[in-house]
Amino acid sequence: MSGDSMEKLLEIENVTKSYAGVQVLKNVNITLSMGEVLCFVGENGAGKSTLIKIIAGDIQASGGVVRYFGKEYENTSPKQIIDMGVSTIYQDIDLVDNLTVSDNVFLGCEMRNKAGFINTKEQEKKTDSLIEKLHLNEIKGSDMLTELSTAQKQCVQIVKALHNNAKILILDEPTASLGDKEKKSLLALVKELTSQGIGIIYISHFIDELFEIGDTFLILKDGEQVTVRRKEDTTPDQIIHDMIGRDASNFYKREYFEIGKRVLKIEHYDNRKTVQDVTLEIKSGEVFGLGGLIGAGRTELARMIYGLDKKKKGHLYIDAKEITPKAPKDALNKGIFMISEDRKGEGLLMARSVKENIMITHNEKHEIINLKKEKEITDKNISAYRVKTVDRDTLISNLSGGNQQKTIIARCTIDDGEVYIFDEPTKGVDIGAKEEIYEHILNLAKKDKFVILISSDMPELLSMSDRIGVMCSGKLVEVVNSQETSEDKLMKKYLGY
Amino acid sequence: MKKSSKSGVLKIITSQPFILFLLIIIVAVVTNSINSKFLTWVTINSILGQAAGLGLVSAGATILVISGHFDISTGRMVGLAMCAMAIMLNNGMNPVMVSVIGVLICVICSIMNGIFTVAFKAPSFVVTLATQNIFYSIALLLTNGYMQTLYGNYRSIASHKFFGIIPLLYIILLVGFAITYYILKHTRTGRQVYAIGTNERAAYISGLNVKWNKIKFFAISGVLVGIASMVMLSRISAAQATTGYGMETEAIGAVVIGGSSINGGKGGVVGTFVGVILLSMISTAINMLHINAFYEYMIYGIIIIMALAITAIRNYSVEKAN
Repeated sequence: MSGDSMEKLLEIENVTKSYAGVQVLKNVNITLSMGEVLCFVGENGAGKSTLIKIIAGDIQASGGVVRYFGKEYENTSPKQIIDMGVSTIYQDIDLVDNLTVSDNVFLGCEMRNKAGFINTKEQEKKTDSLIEKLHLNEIKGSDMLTELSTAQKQCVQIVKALHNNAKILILDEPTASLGDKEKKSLLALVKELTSQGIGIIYISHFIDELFEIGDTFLILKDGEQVTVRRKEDTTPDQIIHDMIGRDASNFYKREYFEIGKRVLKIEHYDNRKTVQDVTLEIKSGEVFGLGGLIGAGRTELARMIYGLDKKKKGHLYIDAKEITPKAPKDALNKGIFMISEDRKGEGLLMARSVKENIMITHNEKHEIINLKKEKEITDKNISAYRVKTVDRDTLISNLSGGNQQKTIIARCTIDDGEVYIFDEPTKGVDIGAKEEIYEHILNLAKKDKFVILISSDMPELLSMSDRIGVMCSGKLVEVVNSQETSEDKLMKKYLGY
Repeated sequence: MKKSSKSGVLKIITSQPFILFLLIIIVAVVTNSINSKFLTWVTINSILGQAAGLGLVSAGATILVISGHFDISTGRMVGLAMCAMAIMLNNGMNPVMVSVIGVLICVICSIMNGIFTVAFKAPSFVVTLATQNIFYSIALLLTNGYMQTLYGNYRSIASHKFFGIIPLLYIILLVGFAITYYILKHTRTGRQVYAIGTNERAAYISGLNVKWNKIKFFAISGVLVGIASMVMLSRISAAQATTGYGMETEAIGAVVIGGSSINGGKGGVVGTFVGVILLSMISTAINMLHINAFYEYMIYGIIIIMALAITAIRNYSVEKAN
């Protein structure tokens, strides 16, 4: 660290953010100095992304002060903040594939020659000198972006940020899609940047990585700052405990009942990418949880089981009978239901009524629809699931997230089924509706069905599941009895630590 | 519950078909006060006669638009079917047989549009932009570019009257709309139209066979276009390759005027029916008011823009109410 490492690049004081009365970020206090690597640590939904967006100017804080380079600014746009020297590099690569490296670096502020044309030579020269400074020997300014690997593209994003004179660099999960070797060179680059006095805000799910490069850790949980720790004074175990430590009141007390005798066999599911040779046995009457971090392959596995996504291998059996579905229609005919995590994109018909949303799957059974019976079934389900709506003809878009979700669960339970997959069923759902959804899930298990529950909400997963399958990088790592595990233990397994 | 019955009446009064219906009455009364021949049996007959062909094509277009698709080849399809039918009739073929073949031609052409749209995952607008040229070329080749005149053959569809007063033509038009209405409201196919038009992905995950369904929607439209070709051939008693051209845009215009959403998922065939009547009436009204006929298309254009404005205002007020 250089001599003037005490200079503050960024100061965040009592920053708060709320959406429509719901607080998503509460009283965050943190500073970033020159040459420092500050890591934001927390579970999915802890508030890391919100905080980044506030720093990058994408959203405005509801309260508190953000000071850049010692100065406070009001109503700043993302563009102004970039110009000040704060660059954010998101996980998805934000470059144009059909341009060269230097074209990308100079995009929007091209160098021109006297005739007014873009001065490609000069641009490439400048890019090359920047690249050289960072010891990125394998990239040249004249390379087409399509020829580069994901890791190299990440580096180009960093080069571009430096070209914009970035003094603060925010890296959001930069290593998520990188291999081991690539990861190492990226981390080396980050170290190189700090030696030049650049302040880094670093986000990653990988604890070992954080300890390799981080100086300071800001631990967030449910939008609140838990604590700030220096690397010298802490251990990975302590950080993990900080991330998940919470009150027992968050746990739902479920009813337990006898587990059935039938067996659902998930055999050798594999797509050679996000899911690798997963084999599982689930008993009827059991709620089987699937845990893991985002990108661990849980959703991908569920979608293959449902026949929605392509698979290379995999068979599904109930006892000895094969029921592997070819497509969602086939899955439904065989009694396999899936409730997607993307409620708006893959679940709801937003422009249609509650009735049509409840009845869509059932209506596939007969060409002529008995309108009277349709109304009866709809009304029965609206009251059984306590869907809060003016009437059955109300547009589904007017309902709250929880009521929309109940509508989708109703859709899947009109006809008798065997297998029910819930992918993040309580995402964006208020607490009251959450407990109702839990009851509906348990009711299915009680009826001796097979229930698979995917959830990133750890208390939910622990309190709802009989057993939990932990996935990490596409593999099923372990199946644990949820009574015999804890959040700490589970989180360690998620992180592969 | 009181609230919902009140909103029921309000729903009808503020619905697009009702507003258009009022507009039709206003235009009729105003035109009639200037030219008292407007509200006579002869004029009304001519308006409805004109509406028959366009109406049937528009009914099919309604299904496609709600499901998120367009077929801009229907005009050329009508031309092709009419030419083929006229040639067969002039060669002495049985009229019933000819009618069946005429409808089949349109169904096959439509299914082709559907297959290309599904197979190439292409916008149906572009697919039908291409196929309409093919249909036109085939019609030119069949007729060698000459007009095919029927000399009084095949008149019964246009001239037959039940009990001496109710023209068969109206019955065909009404039955066409009634069947489309029934399909959209009472059948699985109808629900599929709305579901796929709203959210194709959700429809697929909810167990719909989206690809096959889309081809089915095109086929239904094809049947209606085929019947429209029969009706028009009977009315005009002649056909050439250019016949029908322009109907496709008029039909989509009628659908939009009727309040169906170009983005899919919303709308109905009642609005389209009123839209078709409005369009057919306007051209007659322009004639009878001795307005320069060159204004006709301008007025069409203004009506479509007005319809969009009404839809936008209604959507805005609904949003505000929530």
